[in-house]
Amino acid sequence: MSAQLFSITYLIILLAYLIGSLVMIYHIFAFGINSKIGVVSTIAYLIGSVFILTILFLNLQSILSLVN
Amino acid sequence: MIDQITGKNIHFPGQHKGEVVKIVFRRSIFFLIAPYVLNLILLIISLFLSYFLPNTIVFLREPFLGSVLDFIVTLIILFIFYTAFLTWTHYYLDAYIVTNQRVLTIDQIDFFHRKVSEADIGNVQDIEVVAKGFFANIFHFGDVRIQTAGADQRTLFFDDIPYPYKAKDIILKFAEENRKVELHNAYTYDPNQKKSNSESADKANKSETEIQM
Repeated sequence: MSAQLFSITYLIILLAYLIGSLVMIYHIFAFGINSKIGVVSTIAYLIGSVFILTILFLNLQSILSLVN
Repeated sequence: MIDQITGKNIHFPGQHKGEVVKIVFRRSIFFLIAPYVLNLILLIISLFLSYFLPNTIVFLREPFLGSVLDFIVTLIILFIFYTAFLTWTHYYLDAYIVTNQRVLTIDQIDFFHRKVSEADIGNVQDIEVVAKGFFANIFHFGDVRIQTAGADQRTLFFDDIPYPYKAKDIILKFAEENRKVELHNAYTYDPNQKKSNSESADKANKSETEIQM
């Protein structure tokens, strides 16, 4: 039960984060003025996001290993 | 500099044919740094707590609760990172553009909520600069209020732009240039030239529709 709860929490966070990120990136490319700055900032954001989400996933895995 | 962009290869949505961007102003970099300092403080507090709490609260040394604490701290870091990019996006999308034809203010109020105001640059009549407050005077930013003449009389606001007095001079210079060009065009009016221009424009429109089809 606890394992399922943590997994579902992670998936909801991931989904909300992806939707929020897509909205922001869409706005940057659709309405941004200097596209070069937009591209650089988006790449930096994506790299940072992948890094933090991976750490969050590793944390989830350690929780699940302790629960099971 | 991010808050003042000049160059030939700048384009924006809704740009007219033959319209050249002269300068783009954004809000002073101070309005980007101030929220980032707040984010940094939050980040330091959360990292400090993640290190400090297990040492002081005994039951957090238990592996399961320790992992849950790490999960929560990482979640807070993710939230801070998202907020930082959100701040950047809002800063990046608000812009004040001066072209050879128009003056535009683009205000991204929220996502999917955008306000664009524009005026003919030749109609710029009066510009007022307001630099109010301690930070505005220390970091050299302020509001520029552009009043236009003519049938579409209105006031455009360039809020919190860097070096507003220089910005005022730049806008007035471009407005004067535009008036000179329009005056020159009015005195050197050639109906035959106009006819050939309209013919070429018709051809261009036809070719565009053909491409669309």
